[in-house]
Amino acid sequence: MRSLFFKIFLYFLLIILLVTASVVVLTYFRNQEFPLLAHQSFTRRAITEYGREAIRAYESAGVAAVDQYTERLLRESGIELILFDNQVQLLSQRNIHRRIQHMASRALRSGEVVLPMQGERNGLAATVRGASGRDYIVAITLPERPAPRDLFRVMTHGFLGLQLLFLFAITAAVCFVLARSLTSPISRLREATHRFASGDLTTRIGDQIRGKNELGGLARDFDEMATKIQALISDQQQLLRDLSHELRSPLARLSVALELARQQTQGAAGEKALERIGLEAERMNEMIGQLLGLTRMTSGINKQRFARLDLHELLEKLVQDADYEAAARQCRVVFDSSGAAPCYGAAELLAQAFENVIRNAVKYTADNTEVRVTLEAEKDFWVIRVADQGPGVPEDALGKIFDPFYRVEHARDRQSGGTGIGLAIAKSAISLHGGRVRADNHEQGGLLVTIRITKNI
Amino acid sequence: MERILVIDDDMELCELLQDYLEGEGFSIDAVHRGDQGVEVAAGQAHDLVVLDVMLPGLNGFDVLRKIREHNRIPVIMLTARGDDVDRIVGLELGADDYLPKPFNPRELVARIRAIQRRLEGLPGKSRTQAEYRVGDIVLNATNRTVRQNGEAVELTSMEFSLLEVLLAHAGEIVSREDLVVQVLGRQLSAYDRSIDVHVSALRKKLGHNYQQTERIRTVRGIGYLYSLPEKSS
Repeated sequence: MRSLFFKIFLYFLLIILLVTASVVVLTYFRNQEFPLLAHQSFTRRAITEYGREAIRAYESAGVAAVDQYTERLLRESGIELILFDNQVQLLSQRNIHRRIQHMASRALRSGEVVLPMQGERNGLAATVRGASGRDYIVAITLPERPAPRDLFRVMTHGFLGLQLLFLFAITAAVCFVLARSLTSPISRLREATHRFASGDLTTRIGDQIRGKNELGGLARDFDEMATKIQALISDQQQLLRDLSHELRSPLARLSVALELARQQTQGAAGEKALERIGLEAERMNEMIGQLLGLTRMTSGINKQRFARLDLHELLEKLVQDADYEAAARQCRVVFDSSGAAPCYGAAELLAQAFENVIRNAVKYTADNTEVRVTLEAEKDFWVIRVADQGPGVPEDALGKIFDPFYRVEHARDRQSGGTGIGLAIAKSAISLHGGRVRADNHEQGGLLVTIRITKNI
Repeated sequence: MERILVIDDDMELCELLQDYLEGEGFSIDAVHRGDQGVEVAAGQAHDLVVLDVMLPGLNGFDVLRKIREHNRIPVIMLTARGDDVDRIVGLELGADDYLPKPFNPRELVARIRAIQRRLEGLPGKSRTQAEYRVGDIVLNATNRTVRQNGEAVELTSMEFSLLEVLLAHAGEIVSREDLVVQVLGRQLSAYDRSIDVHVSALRKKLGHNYQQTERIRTVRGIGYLYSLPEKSS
């Protein structure tokens, strides 16, 4: 009985019952029916009263006078009178329904007041004796249908209007409750899914959606899934941390041992080889660090650290640092920006992305040249351009330089100690922010990297 | 001879460090668990602690927190490279310096020497004054104490040196480069933000404002400035 199916079923049943009941009630009030035959004397008297008038008109002035009288009667009392002679011959110029004719002949045969046999019971017929002593058949009916304008008025005003309003209100309330009870757990579930997707792995929903129906089951399944994913991710994070520690421990020992060897040999012949060992150890260390960074980023673990930040401020610091570093090669890094550039993101990740791009530019720009970093607004984006004055990159390699471990054939990368992961990290960090990065060769030579980040404030 | 306590769970590394640092004239004790480290450090037998972040028993931050409860012994943290959070947390908890692991032991020796020099007073730069009074702060360089409105303020040796340099140049801008050289005893390298962390720790301890003016102002792109109180006061 608790399943969603029964819930929906019962609610709809209830609504249908309500509607049916109201239709019955409405018809009861709407159905215009003459009193039952039990009230023979009352109806006979009414018919005789009206009938006599009509007969008098007929006997004195003919069919036209009858029509005149019935029209007046319809206007004044809202009923329609039809006169027949004792041969059931219509004494009017109007057309009438066969039903009425039929009723009239039945009245003649039975000598009683009769109702129509079929259809609406909205007519009466009986024989009436005129002043001349001749028998006539008088039928009274209600007009076939109320005029549409009247119908509208009846429905919107007075008793019936209130009734409809009431019915509408009840139905609306029932439907509202139904809709709410169905959608509110769903929207709560949706909200939870959103929170989970945006990085809050501790999101659970089980205590908010109770009950044993399908939605409650879904909520419990969600919780179970969330727990599993959380465990998986924390396992992965732990693995990354352990890996970083385990891989670096031997490296740390290596570098201490290396210095120890230096200390003990004191400038002997092995110096050059020791130098080499140190360089390779440093390179390996850098690579481990960047690889871990890349893995961490592509698995989206860092997403929860999003906050408001100012790109201008971030870039300013990075440019200062890069400028400091570039000074060793008589290069400069300059920053052009028109001011604050608020955006929403993880400052650390963006900083790393920009830093990698800027450092790459510094590495390849020719001695005594300048690396230019610009920040501009362009519609819904902040556009950051980093231009160096180096050799650029062959056209066919432009799209690939953001792939991990991709190296341009003649790159001096090895000599300059690059790992081949820096730009890949930059790309993942930027796409994590819904941004894009592309590389072009500048017209005046050198590489131009363009980064677009949505403003979404 | 300097006695150094190394707290690191990597025994082989400790042995190597012991050999290397003894070659440089230091005497080394090594422990491999965090809780042991706290006990040994509490013995006050050492002049400096080299502390790894990843430790069994008690992690590096907790060890640092425990040591700082009753001891101002200089601490150099060894952090995982690339983990900025570790580094900043370490400095904020009162570490004097940090070194990303794996490190070059020559660098470690340089940092130890820098801290040593700082504690013995800066050589080459003769101390101009033994006491500085700026606004609500009184810094006494001879017994290394700081009082704010007469009440003692607990500063790490790094924060103390930083404040000393800033007060010596109160009202003037001190460049980040100079601060790093004078306080940390090394050259400023790109992407090294430790001096900024020390400054923010100092701000937190002394209060951000004094008489409606910012106590330690950041001068963008240049460095820091300790504001002089207004003349009227």
